[in-house]
Amino acid sequence: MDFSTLSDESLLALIARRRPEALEELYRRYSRMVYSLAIRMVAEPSVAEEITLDVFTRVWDKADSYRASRAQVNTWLTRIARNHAIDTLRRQNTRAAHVAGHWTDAEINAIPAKNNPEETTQLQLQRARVRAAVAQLPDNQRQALSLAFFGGYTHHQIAQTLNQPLGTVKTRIRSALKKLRHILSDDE
Amino acid sequence: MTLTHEQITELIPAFALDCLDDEETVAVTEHLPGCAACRAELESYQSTVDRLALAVPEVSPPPELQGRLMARVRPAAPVPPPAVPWWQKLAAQLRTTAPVWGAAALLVLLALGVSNLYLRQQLTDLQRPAMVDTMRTVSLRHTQPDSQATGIIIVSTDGEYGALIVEHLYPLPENQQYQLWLIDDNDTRISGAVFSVDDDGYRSVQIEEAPLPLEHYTRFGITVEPAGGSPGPTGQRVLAGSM
Ligand SMILES: [Zn+2]
Repeated sequence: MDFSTLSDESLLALIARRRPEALEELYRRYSRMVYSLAIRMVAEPSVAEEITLDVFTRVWDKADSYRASRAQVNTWLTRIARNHAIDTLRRQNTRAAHVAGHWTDAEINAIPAKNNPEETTQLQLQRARVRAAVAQLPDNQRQALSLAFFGGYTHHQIAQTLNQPLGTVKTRIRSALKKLRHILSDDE
Repeated sequence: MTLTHEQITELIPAFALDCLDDEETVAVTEHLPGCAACRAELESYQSTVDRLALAVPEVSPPPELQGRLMARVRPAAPVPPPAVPWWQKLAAQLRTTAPVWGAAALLVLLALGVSNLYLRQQLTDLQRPAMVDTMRTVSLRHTQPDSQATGIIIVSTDGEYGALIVEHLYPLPENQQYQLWLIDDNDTRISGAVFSVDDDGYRSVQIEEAPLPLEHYTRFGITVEPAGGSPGPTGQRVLAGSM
């Protein structure tokens, strides 16, 4: 069987039947996406590697529970990855706000890399769209969103870190997500 | 904390992002089962948050990570039995397979011993009953703490022919060689062989003709000597064994 031609969902079905080749193929498609998110959040490569391993180990163990979640497979993977990373960050309790806090122009203006042949064109297009949407946010909204999304900070922690009133922070986050939802839904 | 539907709706984006404080998180969680509108709103924001994961710089994981993953998920391979040095297997087979042994078998042994790998492949062939039971073998053990070296001396029943096989001895510089010493009960030491080992530390040699039949010698030692050998042992001892 040529695993590279199978859909993500078929791969998960085969993973649930303990076919290592299916997991290998899923890893080829999405390890870069998972690792990129993890290392952006935790900064430390060895920790990001552990998170990546945990994500795909969990896929191996829980592939049969995927159908219930209804998310796209790649979404499912990044959710697991982010939850793992937030757990790690909250346990460490020593997040570097300067790492999490700046969603830099360089990041959002980066052209999606073309050097990952396993990653579908569709996924690369999605990257470009999301970056363009984030680029449209005002700086202060982007910064608060970044602390929450990458740093796992709560409203209170963001307010402390930025030395801003709690209400201001709540508004920035809410406004940022509303705007992103609006822009991204237009794209679909 | 009891909040109205309108208040909860305002919290849904931050709930999707997982940045609410504990009390608000609980309030939203308790509200959701009874409110389809808020559940739909949450699903919509969840999808927005999910997509943020794509707005990060792309970094490839190290290539070996895939191997680590597959090692984790594949059922553990059965633990291989502890490696038995090939010569022990050979000696065990030779001891048990045949009643007659002589110079011919020893020469076969030496010929096979030319290559460790080749010898391993030939081990099964040696299960022919033509070879030997009545020889004597002496295991040599390393005498240096961090050494893996092993060796065996095989002597024919009539004491006329002997062979030495060593494994895992360190290759020596060109100006040095290993030397085998045959030691009798009077502590007299006779040179039995001067040899070098290959890159794997392996060598098999025929023991030189000694003044007395080999069975006369009860102890054996291997030392590091200047190339060509010495009249008597002078250097570090690396392997030793006795009858
Ligand atoms: Zn509601």
